[in-house]
Amino acid sequence: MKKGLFNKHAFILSGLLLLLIAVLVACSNSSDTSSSGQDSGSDGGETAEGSKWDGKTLKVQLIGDFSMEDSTDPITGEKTPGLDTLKEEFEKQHPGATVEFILMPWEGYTEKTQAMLTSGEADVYQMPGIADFAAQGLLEPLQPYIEEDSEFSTDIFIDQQVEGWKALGPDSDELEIYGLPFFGDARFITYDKKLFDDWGVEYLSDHPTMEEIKEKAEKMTGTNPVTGEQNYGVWFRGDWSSAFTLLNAAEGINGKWGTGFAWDEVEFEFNSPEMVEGLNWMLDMQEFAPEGIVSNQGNEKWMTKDNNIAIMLNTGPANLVQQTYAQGLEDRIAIAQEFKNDEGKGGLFAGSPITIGKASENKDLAWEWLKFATSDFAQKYFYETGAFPSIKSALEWESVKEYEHLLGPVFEAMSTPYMPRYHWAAAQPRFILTSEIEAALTGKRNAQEALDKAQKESTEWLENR
Amino acid sequence: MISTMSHKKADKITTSVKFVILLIFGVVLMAPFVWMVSVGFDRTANISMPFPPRLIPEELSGFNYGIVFENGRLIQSYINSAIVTITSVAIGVSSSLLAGYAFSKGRFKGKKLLFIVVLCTLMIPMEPRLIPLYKLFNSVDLLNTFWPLILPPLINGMLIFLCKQFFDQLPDSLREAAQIDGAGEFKIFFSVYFPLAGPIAATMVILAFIWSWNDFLWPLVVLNNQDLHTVPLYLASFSLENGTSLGGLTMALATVSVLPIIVVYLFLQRYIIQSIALSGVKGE
Repeated sequence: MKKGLFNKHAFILSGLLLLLIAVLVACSNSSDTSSSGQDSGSDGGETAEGSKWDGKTLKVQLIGDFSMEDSTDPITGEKTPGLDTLKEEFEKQHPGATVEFILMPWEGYTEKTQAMLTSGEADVYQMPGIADFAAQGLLEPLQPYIEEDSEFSTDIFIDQQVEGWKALGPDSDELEIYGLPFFGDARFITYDKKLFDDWGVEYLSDHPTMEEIKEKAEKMTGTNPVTGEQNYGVWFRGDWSSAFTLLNAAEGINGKWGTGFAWDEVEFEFNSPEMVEGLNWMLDMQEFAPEGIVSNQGNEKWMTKDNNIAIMLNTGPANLVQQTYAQGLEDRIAIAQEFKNDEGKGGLFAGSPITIGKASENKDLAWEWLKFATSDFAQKYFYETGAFPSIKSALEWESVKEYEHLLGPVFEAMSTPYMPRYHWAAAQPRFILTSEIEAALTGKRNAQEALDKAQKESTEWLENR
Repeated sequence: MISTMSHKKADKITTSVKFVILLIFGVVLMAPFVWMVSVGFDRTANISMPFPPRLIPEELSGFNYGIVFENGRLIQSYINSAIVTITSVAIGVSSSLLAGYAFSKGRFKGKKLLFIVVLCTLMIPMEPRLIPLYKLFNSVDLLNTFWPLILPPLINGMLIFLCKQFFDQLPDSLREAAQIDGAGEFKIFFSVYFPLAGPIAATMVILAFIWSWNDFLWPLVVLNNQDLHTVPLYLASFSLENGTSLGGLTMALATVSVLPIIVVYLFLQRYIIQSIALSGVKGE
């Protein structure tokens, strides 16, 4: 018979190898070890005998590119401190307590958070999707803690931030505090002053209107009179965030996404006259943008010395300072506010709140962590590692003042987003709306037809939830 | 004589043309990979992605690879992925070979129904199974270990189906001859059919390897300790909130993560071809 690939000896060897691996796997069971890989015994501060926190372990979940050890900033190349810095400080302030971090990437965080909450895996959670989890009764209401703690006040936070993260509990009709603002975020308009200078166009006003953007974008589309390069007046994403660009345009003329917070009370207004006007404005803007906005293309030179786009709509603060300075664009990049309604509100409310899991067995210590995470010490740490602070005192930090021309408008944008926030943006209606904006941008439907369809499908989704 | 020479000349020209065409195709196919490696070595690519794309880095530097290997987490994640992948592949392929053989050559009650049940497992995606599986492993205190990644592939509908199809191709007369010689079922499997299963086993190893190596969502959910993270989790930890990432770093990560897959392919490629060729064998 033909000699095959396998024989008995090979099979026995494979079996032994398998057994060896199984032993290795079994040895790798480290459910009792912390992410930091450190022992429970902290060297931070003396352990007071009979301390309130003796032997208590707090599990804190964080989302993003955090590291326990010091690491290198991929843009600046500077060393950034690891989370051990926070761990040591908190354990020093709370003798006897031990902090363990559960770190997860942004991708898949919703599924993992859901799983962790069902089994009480962590005590404290960073939770952008707070509305869904609060409604399931998985989060601890924070109002009692705030009322009982004389040392703590919600006045420390930038305006609108506490309000913005309020959510409905499983049995409540009114919005309650389930999370404290942890990381800030905002949307604003960024522009390149050099291109404005080249074209002889006046810089954007601090609070531009849709007409102003349109007029200036039109002027700066064509061959740059100084460099001879092709320039475009404006750019915006026609895919992932197009719904937010449209909503902001509608807000600029006193439109809104709709009303209600509880799903059974939500009513969308996706095809209101303001929304239609907003989408028509976006279609006009498309004429002054490079091709490919629907597939997130055409902005490749943005934030470089060869930039060819004058105005960038719906931008966020992530890496804004690092990229601007790394490219030597500090004299070119400027920020204007997104469109605001008559009440001075407009634009996406974003960021991350921090919450306590209902199943936590260390709720008091978890509350201590919440206060610590929103203190100057921790917020400064997170700011230095790339996140954006949520507290007012950040405006006084030297490291913020140094870049005030960029960061000042970002803080202003953070304090004037549209309320109530687009809590449905993590659900199907956002994707329905995005898809119909894309249909309009690609000429499949006109603005009215596209938004009528979005309204119909979103309403049906609500009814069938 | 002249005709022979002109024939040789024509053959040479034909060969040269073929070579040039293949070379062009090769370059086109390799360009994205070369570009990926190149961007990984470009210090400025994190600040802005090189545009238009260039093969020669603007500022040649090992900076991005330095970050990738920083703190030893990449090496640790490779070790973790290797443990998980080798174990789950070994278990999955072994059990699938046995099950496939049983479904193909076995004679037992409810065989068809049981096979349909196995096939049904192909119809349920991971997402709806996520929470029940998570709760199951939580109830036996196996979360934050490698076991939740190793045990579920024990029953792999796709691999069992592939094995059954393969063994269906092999003649029953081999089994009958071994039975006449007095061999039992296990003896028949290990002595007769198992040595012939090399090509399908290699194909299954490749498939199972890729599934296991690339698995993201399930390891993400069950592993909390960063020291246990597999390569895909390590890669994802560099992504930014809005789904974007830094060009140079991403390409450096992609380069180091794709290397094991390429190595496995290079070693097992001939078995895939063999397996495809063998599937045409008639069971006469």
